[in-house]
Amino acid sequence: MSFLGRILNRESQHLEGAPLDAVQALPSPSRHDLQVGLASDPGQVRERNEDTCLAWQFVLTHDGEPPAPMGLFIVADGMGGHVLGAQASALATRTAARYVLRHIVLALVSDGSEAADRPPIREVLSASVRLAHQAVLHRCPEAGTTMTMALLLGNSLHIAHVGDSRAYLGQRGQIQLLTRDHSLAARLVDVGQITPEEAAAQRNVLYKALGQGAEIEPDILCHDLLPGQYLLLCCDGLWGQVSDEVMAAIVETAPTPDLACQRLVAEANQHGGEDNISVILAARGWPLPGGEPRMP
Amino acid sequence: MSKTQKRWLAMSSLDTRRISKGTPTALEPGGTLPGRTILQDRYEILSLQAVGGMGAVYKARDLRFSAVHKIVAVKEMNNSAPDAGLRRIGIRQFEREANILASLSHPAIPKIFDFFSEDNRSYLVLEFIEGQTLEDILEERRQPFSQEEAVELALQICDVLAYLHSRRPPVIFRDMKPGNVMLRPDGRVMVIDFGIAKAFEHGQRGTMIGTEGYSPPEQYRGTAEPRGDLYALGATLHHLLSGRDPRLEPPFTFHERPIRLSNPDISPALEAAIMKSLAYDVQERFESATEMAQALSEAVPGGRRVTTGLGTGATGTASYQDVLPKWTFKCEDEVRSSPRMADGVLFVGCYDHNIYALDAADGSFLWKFATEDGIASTPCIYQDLVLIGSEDGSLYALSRQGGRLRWTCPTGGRIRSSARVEYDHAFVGSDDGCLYAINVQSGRVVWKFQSAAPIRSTPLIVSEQVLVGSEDGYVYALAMRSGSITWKYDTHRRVTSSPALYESLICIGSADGNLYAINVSSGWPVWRFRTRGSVVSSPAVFGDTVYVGSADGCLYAVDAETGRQRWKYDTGQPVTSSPAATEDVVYVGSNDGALHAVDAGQGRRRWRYITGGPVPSSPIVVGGVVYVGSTDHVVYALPA
Repeated sequence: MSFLGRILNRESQHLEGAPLDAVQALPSPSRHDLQVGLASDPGQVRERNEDTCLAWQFVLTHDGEPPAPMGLFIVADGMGGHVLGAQASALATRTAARYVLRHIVLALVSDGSEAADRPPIREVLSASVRLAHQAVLHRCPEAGTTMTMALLLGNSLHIAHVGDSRAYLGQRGQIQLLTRDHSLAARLVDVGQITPEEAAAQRNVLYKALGQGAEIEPDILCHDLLPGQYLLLCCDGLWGQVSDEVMAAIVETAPTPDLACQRLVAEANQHGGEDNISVILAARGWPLPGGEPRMP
Repeated sequence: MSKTQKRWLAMSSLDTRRISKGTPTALEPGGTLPGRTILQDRYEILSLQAVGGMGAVYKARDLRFSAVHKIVAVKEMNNSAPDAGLRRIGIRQFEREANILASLSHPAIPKIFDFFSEDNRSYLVLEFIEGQTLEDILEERRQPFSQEEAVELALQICDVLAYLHSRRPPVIFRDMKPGNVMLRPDGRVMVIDFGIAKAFEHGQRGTMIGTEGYSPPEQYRGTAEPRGDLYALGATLHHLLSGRDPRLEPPFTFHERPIRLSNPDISPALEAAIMKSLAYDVQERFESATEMAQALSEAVPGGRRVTTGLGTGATGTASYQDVLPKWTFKCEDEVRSSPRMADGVLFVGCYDHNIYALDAADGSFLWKFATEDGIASTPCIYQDLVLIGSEDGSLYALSRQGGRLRWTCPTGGRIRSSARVEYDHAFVGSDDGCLYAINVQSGRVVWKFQSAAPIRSTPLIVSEQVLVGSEDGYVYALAMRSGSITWKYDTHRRVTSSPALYESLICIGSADGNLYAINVSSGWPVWRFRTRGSVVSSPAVFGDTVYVGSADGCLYAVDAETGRQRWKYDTGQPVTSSPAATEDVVYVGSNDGALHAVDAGQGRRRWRYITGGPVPSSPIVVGGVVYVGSTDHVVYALPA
C-alpha cells in the first residue's frame, strides 16, 4: 500500500529482516520521476551573490513498487551587506538542512534497531528554522536571511517559510503561489492600503527574517506534489522581475528543469537583474504532461 | 536608500532605548558625551538617560540658574551621515521638532527651553521628566495593565491628542507607542519624542530601520492624519492590555489577537472600542480623540457592576437551564454511547442491554432489541441494517424496521468499538485485541488483525486503508482487503480515540495527552497538539478546524493545517465525549454533567444544559436538534 509506510515499519510482514536491500536498481517501467534543476546568479547590479541554495534528492524503491521521491530544497536570500549576507544564508541553510536530514531522512534508512519515535514533521521543520535563526543571531549578528524550505516525502510536500522568498506549485497551464511574503508591502496590499503595483516599489522591507528579533516562528504549509506537478522555489530577485505567468511559460517550454532555471535567471537579468537571482525547480516527471488542469 | 537595500521591520535600533542601570558599556564607542561635559557654556551633562541609534538623551544641569539646581533633559542628534543632503534633512527635521514643541503648551507635553548645534550634533533642551515610560513599566511588570489603569492613561492621552489635533494646522504626533508615553510618579502622563522618528527614517544606508508596529497602515502610504494617532493609541492600548508586543507580530494583525483571549478580564465594550480605533479604513475609526475618549470611559463603568448573574435568584431548577429539551426518553441504565439517526429514527444503545429505536420527532418508542450485556458502542446504520456491538462480545445486525435479528458475529472480548461499513464490509474492534472485517450480508469474518491490546477506537476507512487506534498505544493503518499493516505509529499510550479525516491527515487522540495529525499514506505525524490530560475524546473536523475534548476539562479548537490552538473552552471536568461541530456551534458533553454548546468562532459558551450525571456520550446534530445521552439514563433532544 504505502511504500513509505512500509519502509518505516520494519515489523511489517514484508520487511522483516530486510534492511537496505530496498535500495536496488530502479525497476521499470516506473522509473523515479523527480527531476531537479537549480540556478543561482548574482544578477546585473550586485557584485556578490548572497543567496544560498540547497537541493538534495533521495530515492528508495521497494518490492517493485513505484519509487517514492524524497527531497529537501532550500532557497535562502541573505542580507546585511559585505560578506555578511552570504554568510548568514549559508549558515542558516546548513544548520536547518542538517537538522532535517538527521531527524527525518536518517529515520528512513535506519535499520529499525533505533527507537521508532518519529517526531511530527511540523515540529522538525519549525525547530530547524529556529536553530538556523539562533545560529545567525549568534554568529552573524549584523545580518539576516530569508528561508524557504521544502521537504518532499512521497507525494507530501512540507514547506517552512520565513521572509520574502517564495514557493510556487505548478503544472501545465497553472501556477499557484503557496507562501505569503513577510514584507510590509504584502501586508499593506492585504489590508487594502496599496495596490500590488505600488507594493513592487518597496517590497523588500521585511517584518520577519532569520537573524532578526528574539524569536521566530516560520509559516509551515502542507501540500501534495503529485506526478505532473512541479515545485518552484525562488528569491525576490526572480519574482520581483518576472511575472508568475512568464515564469510558468518558461518552465513549461524548457527542455529540462536545469535549462528552465537558467532561462528564468536570464529572463530576470534581462529585466535589470537588480538583485541576486536563485531558483530551484523540482518536477514530478519531465516534460510536464499536458491535458486537463487538475489543481484545486 | 537604494531600492534593493534590504531592510527589516523589527525591534528597531532607532528606538530610543532606556538604559536601565546607567551602564555606558552598551553605547556605541565615542557616540555619547562623557559626564561633566558642558555644552554652550550652560548645560552640564550629569548622566545618560537613554540611547538610540542616532543619538541620546542626557540629564543635565542648567548652569545659568546658579542659585537653584535646575535640571533639564538634553536630547542629542548625532548627525554624522556621510551624505551632505541627508545631514541637511536631519537638521531640518530636528529643527521642525523644536519649532513644533515651541508652539505647544499643554501640561502633558514637555516644555522646550533651547535648541542649538555643536560639532555635527544638534541638541534640544527640554523639561526634565521624572518617571518611567509605559514600555519600561510593561517590561518590569511582565503582565498586562488592568483595564481601569489602561483607560485612565488612555483618557489622558486622548486629551493630549485632542489638543494637538485642534491646532491650526493640526499637529499629528505620528509615533504614539508605549515607549513615547511617560508616567510620572503622581500618575500624570507625558507624551515625549515629537516627530523625531520621521526625521531618521531615511537614515544611513544599510541601517536596519524599524517600525514600531503601532503605526496605522495609511501612514506607510505617506498619509498622516489625526485618526492615524487614534490607531496608534489603540495599538498601544492593545499592547498594554494583552501584553503582546505588536513589534513582534506581523503588521496590522491586531484583530487576529483578540485582547480578551489573553486577558479575559477586559470588558467586551472596551475591546470593541479599541478594535474600532484599529480599523484599517480611517473612515471606520473614531472621528476624533474626544469621541474615542467618550467610548473608552463608557466601556469601563467604574465600580458600577451588574450583579444579577444567572442562577443567583434561583426560583427552581428550571431557572438555571439555558434551554429546555424538546423531549426526553428514559432508559433503565446509563447511556454512554452516541445516538445515530436515519430517516427520522434515532437509534441509541444503553447499558440496560438494549438498543432503542425512537421517533426523532417526539421521542416516542418504536422498538428495542436486547443483547446479553450492556451496550457501550454507537450504532452503525448501513442500508436497511443497524449494527451494534455489545459487552457480551458480539456484533449484532438488526433490521432497521422492527429490530429483527439478521445475524450475530461473536468476537473474543467485549465490543466497545463502533462498527464502520465500507464496500459491504463492517470493520469493528474488540477487547480481544482484534480488528474484524466482517461481510455485512452474511456476518462472516473475512479477516482479523491482532493488536497487543483491546481495540476500542472506531475505525475509519480512507483510500482502501482501515485506520484505527489500539490500547497498545499504536495507530494502525491496515490494507482494507487483507488486514496487513501498511504502517503503524507509536504514541506510547492508549489510543481509545477514533480517527477523523482532514484532507490527507487523520487526527486522533492518545492517552499521552496529544492530538496527532498523521499523514494517511505515510504514517508520518505532521503535527501534534498537546493538552494537559489524556485525549480519549474523538476529534471532529469542520472546515479547517479540529475540535477535541481532553481529560484536562477543556474542549479545544485546533487549526487543522498548523496544529495551533484557536481557542479552548473549559468545562471544569474531564471531556471524554466527542464533539459535534456545525458551522456556528460545537456541542460536547462533559463529566460536569452538562451538554455544552460553544461558539465555533470564539470558543464562548452559547448555552449549557445540565443533566443528572456525567455526559460521556457524544452528541449528534440533525435538523436543528442536538441528541445526546447521559449517565442519568436519559436521552435528550435539545434545540440546537
